[in-house]
Amino acid sequence: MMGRVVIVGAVQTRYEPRKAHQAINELVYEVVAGLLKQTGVRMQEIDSMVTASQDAWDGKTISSMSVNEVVGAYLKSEAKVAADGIQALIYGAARILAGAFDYTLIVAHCKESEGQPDEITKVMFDPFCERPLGLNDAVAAGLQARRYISVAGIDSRALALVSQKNHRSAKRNPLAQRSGDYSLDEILAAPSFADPLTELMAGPRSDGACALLLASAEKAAAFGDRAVCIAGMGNSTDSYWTDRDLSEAEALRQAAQRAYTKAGISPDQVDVAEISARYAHEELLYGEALGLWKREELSALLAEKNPLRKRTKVNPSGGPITGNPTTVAGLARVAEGYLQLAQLAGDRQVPGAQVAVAHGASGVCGQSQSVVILRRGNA
Amino acid sequence: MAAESWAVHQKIEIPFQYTAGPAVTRFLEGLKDKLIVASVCSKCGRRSVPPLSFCGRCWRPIAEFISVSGEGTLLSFTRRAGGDVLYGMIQLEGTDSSLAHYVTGEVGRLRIGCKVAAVWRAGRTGSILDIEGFREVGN
Repeated sequence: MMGRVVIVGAVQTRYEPRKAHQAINELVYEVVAGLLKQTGVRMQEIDSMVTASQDAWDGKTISSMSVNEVVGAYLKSEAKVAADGIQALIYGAARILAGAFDYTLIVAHCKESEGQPDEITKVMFDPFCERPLGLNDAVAAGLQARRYISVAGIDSRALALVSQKNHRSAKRNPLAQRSGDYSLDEILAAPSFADPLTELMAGPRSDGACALLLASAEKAAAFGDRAVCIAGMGNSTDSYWTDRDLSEAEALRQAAQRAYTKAGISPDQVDVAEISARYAHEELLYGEALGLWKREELSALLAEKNPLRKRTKVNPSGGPITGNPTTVAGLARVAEGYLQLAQLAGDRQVPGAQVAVAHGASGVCGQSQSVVILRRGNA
Repeated sequence: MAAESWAVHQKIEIPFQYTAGPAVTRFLEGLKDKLIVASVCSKCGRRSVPPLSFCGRCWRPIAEFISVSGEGTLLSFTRRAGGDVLYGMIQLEGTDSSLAHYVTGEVGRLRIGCKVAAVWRAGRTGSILDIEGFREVGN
Protein backbone atom coordinates (compact mmCIF):
# COMPACT_ATOMS: atom_id res chain seq x y z
CA MET A 1 0.00 0.00 0.00
CA MET A 2 1.10 3.51 -0.73
CA GLY A 3 0.93 6.39 1.67
CA ARG A 4 -2.06 8.62 1.24
CA VAL A 5 -2.51 11.20 -1.44
CA VAL A 6 -5.88 12.19 -2.80
CA ILE A 7 -7.31 14.04 -5.77
CA VAL A 8 -9.81 16.68 -4.63
CA GLY A 9 -10.79 18.21 -7.95
CA ALA A 10 -10.39 18.00 -11.71
CA VAL A 11 -11.29 20.44 -14.48
CA GLN A 12 -10.81 20.25 -18.25
CA THR A 13 -11.53 22.68 -21.05
CA ARG A 14 -13.75 21.66 -23.87
CA TYR A 15 -11.58 20.10 -26.53
CA GLU A 16 -11.72 21.98 -29.82
CA PRO A 17 -9.88 21.97 -33.15
CA ARG A 18 -8.69 25.53 -32.66
CA LYS A 19 -9.21 27.83 -29.71
CA ALA A 20 -8.51 30.99 -31.66
CA HIS A 21 -9.61 33.34 -28.89
CA GLN A 22 -7.40 31.97 -26.11
CA ALA A 23 -3.60 32.14 -25.89
CA ILE A 24 -1.97 29.33 -23.91
CA ASN A 25 -2.00 31.24 -20.61
CA GLU A 26 -5.70 32.04 -20.99
CA LEU A 27 -6.46 28.41 -21.70
CA VAL A 28 -4.64 27.39 -18.53
CA TYR A 29 -6.25 30.15 -16.48
CA GLU A 30 -9.64 28.75 -17.46
CA VAL A 31 -8.92 25.34 -15.90
CA VAL A 32 -7.06 26.64 -12.84
CA ALA A 33 -9.80 29.16 -12.01
CA GLY A 34 -12.38 26.42 -12.57
CA LEU A 35 -10.52 24.11 -10.22
CA LEU A 36 -10.36 26.68 -7.40
CA LYS A 37 -14.07 27.25 -7.82
CA GLN A 38 -14.82 23.52 -7.83
CA THR A 39 -12.71 22.76 -4.74
CA GLY A 40 -13.10 25.96 -2.73
CA VAL A 41 -9.33 25.97 -2.18
CA ARG A 42 -7.67 29.41 -2.39
CA MET A 43 -4.54 29.92 -4.47
CA GLN A 44 -2.63 31.02 -1.33
CA GLU A 45 -3.15 27.54 0.14
CA ILE A 46 -1.53 25.79 -2.84
CA ASP A 47 2.17 25.51 -2.18
CA SER A 48 3.38 23.36 -5.07
CA MET A 49 2.69 22.94 -8.78
CA VAL A 50 3.84 20.55 -11.47
CA THR A 51 3.03 21.44 -15.07
CA ALA A 52 3.29 19.43 -18.27
CA SER A 53 4.07 21.06 -21.60
CA GLN A 54 6.33 20.38 -24.54
CA ASP A 55 8.64 22.98 -26.02
CA ALA A 56 8.31 21.70 -29.58
CA TRP A 57 4.51 21.94 -29.45
CA ASP A 58 4.53 25.38 -27.81
CA GLY A 59 7.19 26.64 -30.20
CA LYS A 60 9.32 27.96 -27.35
CA THR A 61 11.78 26.57 -24.86
CA ILE A 62 11.09 26.49 -21.11
CA SER A 63 7.44 26.33 -22.14
CA SER A 64 6.29 26.19 -18.50
CA MET A 65 7.17 29.87 -18.18
CA SER A 66 4.24 30.72 -20.46
CA VAL A 67 1.95 29.57 -17.68
CA ASN A 68 3.80 30.23 -14.45
CA GLU A 69 1.62 33.20 -13.41
CA VAL A 70 -1.66 31.48 -14.19
CA VAL A 71 -0.80 28.31 -12.28
CA GLY A 72 -0.01 30.51 -9.27
CA ALA A 73 3.69 29.67 -9.28
CA TYR A 74 4.85 33.18 -8.34
CA LEU A 75 7.63 32.60 -5.77
CA LYS A 76 6.43 29.04 -5.18
CA SER A 77 7.85 25.61 -5.98
CA GLU A 78 7.05 24.85 -9.61
CA ALA A 79 8.42 21.98 -11.68
CA LYS A 80 7.71 20.89 -15.23
CA VAL A 81 7.65 17.59 -17.06
CA ALA A 82 8.06 17.51 -20.83
CA ALA A 83 5.94 14.41 -21.32
CA ASP A 84 2.32 13.43 -20.86
CA GLY A 85 0.63 15.21 -17.93
CA ILE A 86 0.06 11.89 -16.16
CA GLN A 87 3.77 11.99 -15.36
CA ALA A 88 3.29 15.44 -13.83
CA LEU A 89 0.58 13.93 -11.65
CA ILE A 90 2.84 11.08 -10.52
CA TYR A 91 5.61 13.58 -9.76
CA GLY A 92 3.15 15.80 -7.89
CA ALA A 93 1.82 12.86 -5.86
CA ALA A 94 5.40 12.03 -4.85
CA ARG A 95 5.82 15.61 -3.62
CA ILE A 96 2.83 15.17 -1.33
CA LEU A 97 3.82 11.66 -0.20
CA ALA A 98 7.23 13.07 0.75
CA GLY A 99 5.42 15.26 3.24
CA ALA A 100 6.75 18.41 1.62
CA PHE A 101 3.45 20.00 0.55
CA ASP A 102 -0.25 20.12 1.46
CA TYR A 103 -1.59 20.82 -2.03
CA THR A 104 -0.04 20.27 -5.43
CA LEU A 105 -1.63 21.67 -8.56
CA ILE A 106 -1.15 19.60 -11.72
CA VAL A 107 -1.74 21.25 -15.09
CA ALA A 108 -1.18 20.13 -18.69
CA HIS A 109 -1.82 22.15 -21.81
CA CYS A 110 -1.31 21.92 -25.55
CA LYS A 111 -2.60 23.79 -28.56
CA GLU A 112 -1.97 21.44 -31.43
CA SER A 113 -3.54 24.01 -33.74
CA GLU A 114 -0.63 26.42 -33.38
CA GLY A 115 2.05 24.28 -35.00
CA GLN A 116 2.00 21.58 -37.62
CA PRO A 117 1.69 18.13 -36.04
CA ASP A 118 3.23 16.26 -38.96
CA GLU A 119 6.28 18.57 -38.81
CA ILE A 120 6.58 18.78 -35.02
CA THR A 121 6.42 15.04 -34.53
CA LYS A 122 9.25 14.52 -37.01
CA VAL A 123 11.56 15.88 -34.32
CA MET A 124 10.81 12.82 -32.13
CA PHE A 125 12.70 10.62 -34.56
CA ASP A 126 16.35 9.68 -34.87
CA PRO A 127 18.09 12.43 -36.86
CA PHE A 128 20.54 10.06 -38.60
CA CYS A 129 18.57 7.11 -39.88
CA GLU A 130 14.95 8.23 -39.68
CA ARG A 131 14.41 11.96 -40.08
CA PRO A 132 15.72 12.08 -43.65
CA LEU A 133 12.86 9.70 -44.52
CA GLY A 134 10.22 12.12 -43.21
CA LEU A 135 8.84 9.81 -40.53
CA ASN A 136 6.36 11.30 -38.10
CA ASP A 137 3.85 10.23 -35.48
CA ALA A 138 1.12 9.52 -38.03
CA VAL A 139 3.37 7.21 -40.06
CA ALA A 140 4.49 5.36 -36.93
CA ALA A 141 0.84 4.94 -35.88
CA GLY A 142 -0.06 3.46 -39.27
CA LEU A 143 2.89 1.07 -39.11
CA GLN A 144 2.01 -0.05 -35.59
CA ALA A 145 -1.68 -0.41 -36.42
CA ARG A 146 -1.04 -2.70 -39.39
CA ARG A 147 1.51 -4.73 -37.44
CA TYR A 148 -0.81 -5.12 -34.47
CA ILE A 149 -3.92 -6.19 -36.37
CA SER A 150 -1.89 -8.66 -38.39
CA VAL A 151 -0.36 -10.31 -35.31
CA ALA A 152 -3.63 -10.17 -33.34
CA GLY A 153 -5.48 -11.78 -36.24
CA ILE A 154 -8.13 -9.08 -36.54
CA ASP A 155 -8.93 -6.64 -39.33
CA SER A 156 -9.68 -2.96 -39.82
CA ARG A 157 -13.32 -3.63 -38.96
CA ALA A 158 -12.18 -4.19 -35.37
CA LEU A 159 -10.56 -0.75 -35.44
CA ALA A 160 -13.81 0.70 -36.77
CA LEU A 161 -15.71 -0.89 -33.88
CA VAL A 162 -13.41 0.80 -31.35
CA SER A 163 -13.96 4.12 -33.09
CA GLN A 164 -17.71 3.62 -33.25
CA LYS A 165 -17.96 2.76 -29.55
CA ASN A 166 -15.91 5.77 -28.46
CA HIS A 167 -17.63 8.33 -30.66
CA ARG A 168 -20.95 7.03 -29.37
CA SER A 169 -19.76 7.33 -25.74
CA ALA A 170 -18.50 10.86 -26.45
CA LYS A 171 -22.08 11.95 -27.16
CA ARG A 172 -22.51 11.94 -23.38
CA ASN A 173 -19.35 13.98 -22.83
CA PRO A 174 -19.94 17.70 -23.33
CA LEU A 175 -16.18 18.32 -23.43
CA ALA A 176 -15.55 15.96 -26.35
CA GLN A 177 -14.43 17.44 -29.65
CA ARG A 178 -15.93 14.81 -31.92
CA SER A 179 -18.88 12.51 -31.26
CA GLY A 180 -21.73 10.84 -33.07
CA ASP A 181 -23.31 7.67 -34.32
CA TYR A 182 -20.98 6.66 -37.11
CA SER A 183 -21.68 3.47 -39.00
CA LEU A 184 -18.82 1.01 -39.42
CA ASP A 185 -18.91 1.64 -43.16
CA GLU A 186 -18.62 5.39 -42.62
CA ILE A 187 -15.60 4.88 -40.39
CA LEU A 188 -13.93 2.48 -42.81
CA ALA A 189 -14.67 4.74 -45.79
CA ALA A 190 -13.50 7.95 -44.08
CA PRO A 191 -10.44 9.59 -45.68
CA SER A 192 -7.25 7.71 -44.95
CA PHE A 193 -5.04 8.92 -42.10
CA ALA A 194 -2.18 6.43 -42.43
CA ASP A 195 -3.58 3.13 -43.62
CA PRO A 196 -5.09 0.99 -42.19
CA LEU A 197 -6.14 3.95 -39.99
CA THR A 198 -8.78 6.31 -41.35
CA GLU A 199 -9.39 9.84 -40.06
CA LEU A 200 -12.13 8.44 -37.80
CA MET A 201 -9.71 5.93 -36.26
CA ALA A 202 -7.26 8.67 -35.27
CA GLY A 203 -7.82 11.46 -32.77
CA PRO A 204 -8.26 14.83 -34.50
CA ARG A 205 -5.94 17.77 -33.98
CA SER A 206 -7.08 19.36 -30.75
CA ASP A 207 -6.55 22.24 -28.30
CA GLY A 208 -7.19 21.95 -24.58
CA ALA A 209 -5.96 21.92 -21.00
CA CYS A 210 -6.58 19.95 -17.84
CA ALA A 211 -5.95 20.70 -14.16
CA LEU A 212 -6.15 18.51 -11.05
CA LEU A 213 -5.58 19.30 -7.41
CA LEU A 214 -3.79 16.80 -5.17
CA ALA A 215 -3.97 16.98 -1.39
CA SER A 216 -2.32 15.36 1.58
CA ALA A 217 -4.13 13.00 3.97
CA GLU A 218 -4.66 15.79 6.54
CA LYS A 219 -6.38 18.00 4.01
CA ALA A 220 -8.43 15.17 2.46
CA ALA A 221 -11.03 14.82 5.21
CA ALA A 222 -12.62 18.20 4.51
CA PHE A 223 -13.54 17.10 0.98
CA GLY A 224 -15.70 14.07 1.86
CA ASP A 225 -16.64 12.04 -1.23
CA ARG A 226 -14.98 14.64 -3.42
CA ALA A 227 -11.63 13.23 -2.26
CA VAL A 228 -10.56 10.22 -4.34
CA CYS A 229 -7.59 8.14 -3.25
CA ILE A 230 -4.63 7.49 -5.55
CA ALA A 231 -4.25 3.83 -4.65
CA GLY A 232 -1.36 2.94 -6.94
CA MET A 233 0.96 4.35 -9.58
CA GLY A 234 3.39 2.74 -12.01
CA ASN A 235 5.79 3.82 -14.76
CA SER A 236 7.81 1.85 -17.26
CA THR A 237 9.87 2.77 -20.30
CA ASP A 238 10.60 0.41 -23.18
CA SER A 239 13.25 0.41 -25.91
CA TYR A 240 13.03 2.75 -28.87
CA TRP A 241 10.26 1.82 -31.33
CA THR A 242 12.51 0.02 -33.82
CA ASP A 243 14.09 -2.08 -31.10
CA ARG A 244 10.96 -3.76 -29.77
CA ASP A 245 7.90 -5.72 -30.85
CA LEU A 246 5.25 -3.13 -31.76
CA SER A 247 2.46 -5.68 -31.43
CA GLU A 248 3.12 -5.85 -27.69
CA ALA A 249 3.03 -3.22 -24.92
CA GLU A 250 5.44 -4.75 -22.44
CA ALA A 251 6.21 -1.43 -20.73
CA LEU A 252 2.54 -0.89 -20.04
CA ARG A 253 2.17 -4.43 -18.74
CA GLN A 254 4.97 -3.71 -16.26
CA ALA A 255 3.68 -0.26 -15.31
CA ALA A 256 0.22 -1.72 -14.70
CA GLN A 257 1.60 -4.56 -12.61
CA ARG A 258 3.47 -2.10 -10.39
CA ALA A 259 0.37 0.05 -9.96
CA TYR A 260 -1.98 -2.90 -9.27
CA THR A 261 0.46 -4.37 -6.75
CA LYS A 262 0.79 -1.08 -4.86
CA ALA A 263 -2.97 -0.64 -4.86
CA GLY A 264 -3.71 -4.22 -3.84
CA ILE A 265 -6.24 -4.28 -6.68
CA SER A 266 -6.56 -6.76 -9.51
CA PRO A 267 -7.75 -5.94 -13.05
CA ASP A 268 -11.05 -7.76 -12.50
CA GLN A 269 -11.96 -5.20 -9.82
CA VAL A 270 -11.72 -2.24 -12.18
CA ASP A 271 -15.04 -0.51 -12.91
CA VAL A 272 -13.78 2.18 -15.28
CA ALA A 273 -10.66 2.30 -17.45
CA GLU A 274 -9.65 5.47 -19.21
CA ILE A 275 -7.06 4.50 -21.81
CA SER A 276 -4.87 6.94 -23.76
CA ALA A 277 -5.64 5.66 -27.21
CA ARG A 278 -5.37 8.36 -29.83
CA TYR A 279 -5.41 5.62 -32.44
CA ALA A 280 -7.98 2.82 -32.47
CA HIS A 281 -5.51 -0.07 -32.32
CA GLU A 282 -3.97 1.38 -29.15
CA GLU A 283 -7.14 0.80 -27.14
CA LEU A 284 -7.06 -2.91 -28.02
CA LEU A 285 -3.33 -3.27 -27.33
CA TYR A 286 -3.31 -1.19 -24.15
CA GLY A 287 -6.49 -2.71 -22.70
CA GLU A 288 -4.83 -6.10 -22.98
CA ALA A 289 -1.65 -4.83 -21.27
CA LEU A 290 -3.80 -3.35 -18.49
CA GLY A 291 -5.15 -6.86 -17.89
CA LEU A 292 -8.71 -6.01 -18.96
CA TRP A 293 -8.89 -8.81 -21.53
CA LYS A 294 -6.77 -11.43 -23.22
CA ARG A 295 -5.88 -11.20 -26.89
CA GLU A 296 -7.70 -14.42 -27.68
CA GLU A 297 -10.91 -12.92 -26.26
CA LEU A 298 -10.81 -9.87 -28.56
CA SER A 299 -12.86 -11.14 -31.46
CA ALA A 300 -15.62 -12.31 -29.13
CA LEU A 301 -15.55 -9.08 -27.09
CA LEU A 302 -15.77 -6.97 -30.23
CA ALA A 303 -18.76 -8.96 -31.45
CA GLU A 304 -20.76 -8.13 -28.30
CA LYS A 305 -23.53 -5.55 -28.34
CA ASN A 306 -21.35 -3.46 -26.03
CA PRO A 307 -17.90 -4.00 -27.54
CA LEU A 308 -14.98 -4.52 -25.14
CA ARG A 309 -17.30 -4.55 -22.15
CA LYS A 310 -16.40 -7.31 -19.74
CA ARG A 311 -16.64 -5.96 -16.22
CA THR A 312 -14.81 -2.74 -16.97
CA LYS A 313 -16.34 0.19 -18.85
CA VAL A 314 -13.61 1.37 -21.22
CA ASN A 315 -13.33 5.06 -22.08
CA PRO A 316 -16.81 6.28 -21.08
CA SER A 317 -15.52 9.78 -21.97
CA GLY A 318 -14.86 8.68 -25.56
CA GLY A 319 -11.12 8.92 -24.98
CA PRO A 320 -8.46 10.69 -27.03
CA ILE A 321 -9.73 9.26 -30.33
CA THR A 322 -12.57 11.78 -29.98
CA GLY A 323 -10.10 14.65 -29.48
CA ASN A 324 -7.52 15.34 -26.77
CA PRO A 325 -4.21 17.03 -27.44
CA THR A 326 -0.92 15.33 -26.79
CA THR A 327 0.50 16.08 -23.30
CA VAL A 328 -3.04 16.59 -21.99
CA ALA A 329 -4.47 13.20 -23.01
CA GLY A 330 -3.10 11.08 -20.14
CA LEU A 331 -3.81 13.66 -17.44
CA ALA A 332 -7.33 13.97 -18.84
CA ARG A 333 -7.71 10.21 -18.32
CA VAL A 334 -6.96 10.70 -14.61
CA ALA A 335 -9.41 13.61 -14.53
CA GLU A 336 -12.10 11.41 -16.08
CA GLY A 337 -11.35 8.62 -13.59
CA TYR A 338 -11.62 11.13 -10.76
CA LEU A 339 -14.96 12.49 -12.02
CA GLN A 340 -16.32 8.94 -12.22
CA LEU A 341 -15.36 8.05 -8.64
CA ALA A 342 -16.44 11.41 -7.21
CA GLN A 343 -19.77 10.82 -9.00
CA LEU A 344 -19.31 14.05 -10.93
CA ALA A 345 -19.26 12.57 -14.43
CA GLY A 346 -22.73 13.77 -15.41
CA ASP A 347 -24.31 11.94 -18.34
CA ARG A 348 -21.25 9.72 -18.78
CA GLN A 349 -21.33 8.55 -15.15
CA VAL A 350 -20.78 4.80 -14.69
CA PRO A 351 -23.19 4.00 -11.85
CA GLY A 352 -21.55 2.84 -8.64
CA ALA A 353 -17.96 3.08 -9.92
CA GLN A 354 -15.53 2.34 -7.09
CA VAL A 355 -12.22 1.67 -8.85
CA ALA A 356 -10.79 3.42 -11.91
CA VAL A 357 -7.61 2.92 -13.91
CA ALA A 358 -6.12 5.83 -15.85
CA HIS A 359 -3.41 5.38 -18.43
CA GLY A 360 -1.01 7.73 -20.21
CA ALA A 361 1.78 7.30 -22.74
CA SER A 362 4.60 9.34 -24.25
CA GLY A 363 7.05 8.78 -27.08
CA VAL A 364 7.00 6.99 -30.42
CA CYS A 365 4.46 4.14 -30.34
CA GLY A 366 4.04 4.49 -26.58
CA GLN A 367 7.66 4.04 -25.53
CA SER A 368 6.96 5.34 -22.02
CA GLN A 369 3.89 4.18 -20.12
CA SER A 370 2.17 5.30 -16.91
CA VAL A 371 -0.72 3.89 -14.91
CA VAL A 372 -2.63 5.48 -12.03
CA ILE A 373 -5.21 3.53 -10.02
CA LEU A 374 -7.92 5.44 -8.20
CA ARG A 375 -10.20 4.19 -5.45
CA ARG A 376 -13.41 5.87 -4.31
CA GLY A 377 -13.18 7.52 -0.90
CA ASN A 378 -10.16 8.87 0.88
CA ALA A 379 -9.51 5.94 3.22
CA MET B 1 -14.05 38.75 -24.76
CA ALA B 2 -13.00 40.12 -28.12
CA ALA B 3 -14.73 38.46 -31.04
CA GLU B 4 -11.39 38.09 -32.74
CA SER B 5 -7.90 37.49 -31.50
CA TRP B 6 -4.83 37.84 -33.65
CA ALA B 7 -2.56 35.00 -34.67
CA VAL B 8 1.07 35.90 -35.33
CA HIS B 9 2.82 33.72 -37.90
CA GLN B 10 6.45 32.78 -37.43
CA LYS B 11 8.82 30.08 -38.58
CA ILE B 12 11.64 28.74 -36.42
CA GLU B 13 14.72 27.58 -38.29
CA ILE B 14 17.64 26.29 -36.27
CA PRO B 15 20.46 24.54 -38.13
CA PHE B 16 22.00 21.65 -36.16
CA GLN B 17 25.08 19.52 -36.52
CA TYR B 18 24.17 16.30 -34.74
CA THR B 19 27.12 14.23 -33.52
CA ALA B 20 26.58 10.74 -34.89
CA GLY B 21 28.87 8.84 -32.50
CA PRO B 22 30.91 5.77 -33.41
CA ALA B 23 28.09 3.27 -34.03
CA VAL B 24 26.03 5.45 -36.34
CA THR B 25 29.19 6.69 -38.08
CA ARG B 26 30.11 3.10 -38.92
CA PHE B 27 26.61 2.55 -40.24
CA LEU B 28 26.59 5.65 -42.44
CA GLU B 29 30.11 4.94 -43.67
CA GLY B 30 29.12 1.38 -44.54
CA LEU B 31 26.17 2.54 -46.64
CA LYS B 32 28.58 4.19 -49.09
CA ASP B 33 29.91 0.68 -49.85
CA LYS B 34 26.47 -0.99 -49.86
CA LEU B 35 27.17 -2.46 -46.44
CA ILE B 36 24.57 -2.55 -43.68
CA VAL B 37 26.24 -2.49 -40.27
CA ALA B 38 24.56 -4.05 -37.23
CA SER B 39 25.62 -3.91 -33.58
CA VAL B 40 25.94 -7.08 -31.51
CA CYS B 41 25.62 -7.01 -27.73
CA SER B 42 28.36 -9.14 -26.18
CA LYS B 43 26.01 -10.31 -23.43
CA CYS B 44 22.57 -10.96 -24.96
CA GLY B 45 23.75 -11.25 -28.54
CA ARG B 46 21.00 -8.96 -29.80
CA ARG B 47 21.74 -7.63 -33.27
CA SER B 48 20.37 -4.19 -34.07
CA VAL B 49 20.12 -2.13 -37.26
CA PRO B 50 20.58 0.82 -37.07
CA PRO B 51 23.42 -0.17 -34.74
CA LEU B 52 23.41 0.82 -31.08
CA SER B 53 26.32 2.10 -28.97
CA PHE B 54 24.79 0.65 -25.83
CA CYS B 55 22.53 -2.27 -25.06
CA GLY B 56 19.79 -0.87 -22.86
CA ARG B 57 18.58 -4.35 -21.93
CA CYS B 58 21.97 -5.44 -20.56
CA TRP B 59 23.21 -1.93 -19.75
CA ARG B 60 26.58 -2.27 -21.37
CA PRO B 61 28.55 -0.61 -24.15
CA ILE B 62 28.62 -2.37 -27.51
CA ALA B 63 31.95 -2.95 -29.22
CA GLU B 64 31.08 -5.52 -31.89
CA PHE B 65 29.78 -4.55 -35.30
CA ILE B 66 29.07 -6.86 -38.22
CA SER B 67 27.63 -6.35 -41.64
CA VAL B 68 24.33 -8.01 -42.44
CA SER B 69 22.31 -8.82 -45.53
CA GLY B 70 20.28 -6.18 -47.34
CA GLU B 71 17.42 -8.66 -47.49
CA GLY B 72 14.76 -9.03 -44.89
CA THR B 73 11.11 -9.44 -43.99
CA LEU B 74 8.46 -6.75 -44.18
CA LEU B 75 6.92 -6.38 -40.71
CA SER B 76 4.49 -3.61 -41.60
CA PHE B 77 3.81 -0.83 -44.09
CA THR B 78 1.70 2.30 -44.39
CA ARG B 79 1.14 5.39 -46.47
CA ARG B 80 0.47 8.75 -44.84
CA ALA B 81 -2.55 10.40 -46.40
CA GLY B 82 -1.42 12.97 -48.93
CA GLY B 83 2.06 11.48 -49.10
CA ASP B 84 3.51 9.85 -52.15
CA VAL B 85 5.78 7.34 -50.42
CA LEU B 86 5.10 4.03 -48.77
CA TYR B 87 6.82 3.39 -45.46
CA GLY B 88 7.78 -0.03 -44.16
CA MET B 89 9.33 -1.68 -41.15
CA ILE B 90 11.89 -4.22 -42.22
CA GLN B 91 13.57 -6.90 -40.17
CA LEU B 92 16.84 -7.63 -41.92
CA GLU B 93 17.99 -11.24 -42.00
CA GLY B 94 19.93 -12.20 -38.91
CA THR B 95 18.89 -9.13 -36.90
CA ASP B 96 16.55 -8.69 -33.94
CA SER B 97 15.39 -5.11 -34.52
CA SER B 98 13.59 -3.38 -37.35
CA LEU B 99 14.53 -0.63 -39.74
CA ALA B 100 12.06 1.97 -40.96
CA HIS B 101 12.44 2.84 -44.63
CA TYR B 102 10.59 3.34 -47.88
CA VAL B 103 9.03 0.38 -49.62
CA THR B 104 8.70 0.44 -53.37
CA GLY B 105 6.30 -1.63 -55.39
CA GLU B 106 2.60 -2.06 -55.74
CA VAL B 107 0.56 -1.49 -52.60
CA GLY B 108 -1.91 -4.23 -53.45
CA ARG B 109 0.82 -6.84 -53.71
CA LEU B 110 2.56 -6.06 -50.44
CA ARG B 111 1.92 -8.44 -47.57
CA ILE B 112 3.29 -8.52 -44.09
CA GLY B 113 5.89 -11.25 -44.03
CA CYS B 114 6.97 -10.83 -47.64
CA LYS B 115 10.66 -10.77 -48.47
CA VAL B 116 12.19 -7.45 -49.43
CA ALA B 117 15.64 -6.31 -50.51
CA ALA B 118 17.46 -3.00 -50.35
CA VAL B 119 17.66 -1.00 -53.57
CA TRP B 120 20.87 1.00 -53.63
CA ARG B 121 21.24 4.44 -55.08
CA ALA B 122 24.13 5.37 -57.34
CA GLY B 123 26.43 8.11 -56.02
CA ARG B 124 26.14 7.19 -52.35
CA THR B 125 27.13 9.81 -49.76
CA GLY B 126 26.87 8.02 -46.43
CA SER B 127 23.20 8.68 -45.71
CA ILE B 128 20.20 6.50 -44.97
CA LEU B 129 18.98 7.75 -48.35
CA ASP B 130 21.81 5.79 -50.00
CA ILE B 131 19.19 3.07 -49.85
CA GLU B 132 16.42 4.13 -52.22
CA GLY B 133 14.03 1.82 -50.46
CA PHE B 134 13.15 -1.84 -50.15
CA ARG B 135 11.44 -3.73 -52.94
CA GLU B 136 9.52 -6.95 -52.76
CA VAL B 137 11.47 -9.99 -53.92
CA GLY B 138 8.74 -12.60 -53.61
CA ASN B 139 7.77 -14.79 -50.73
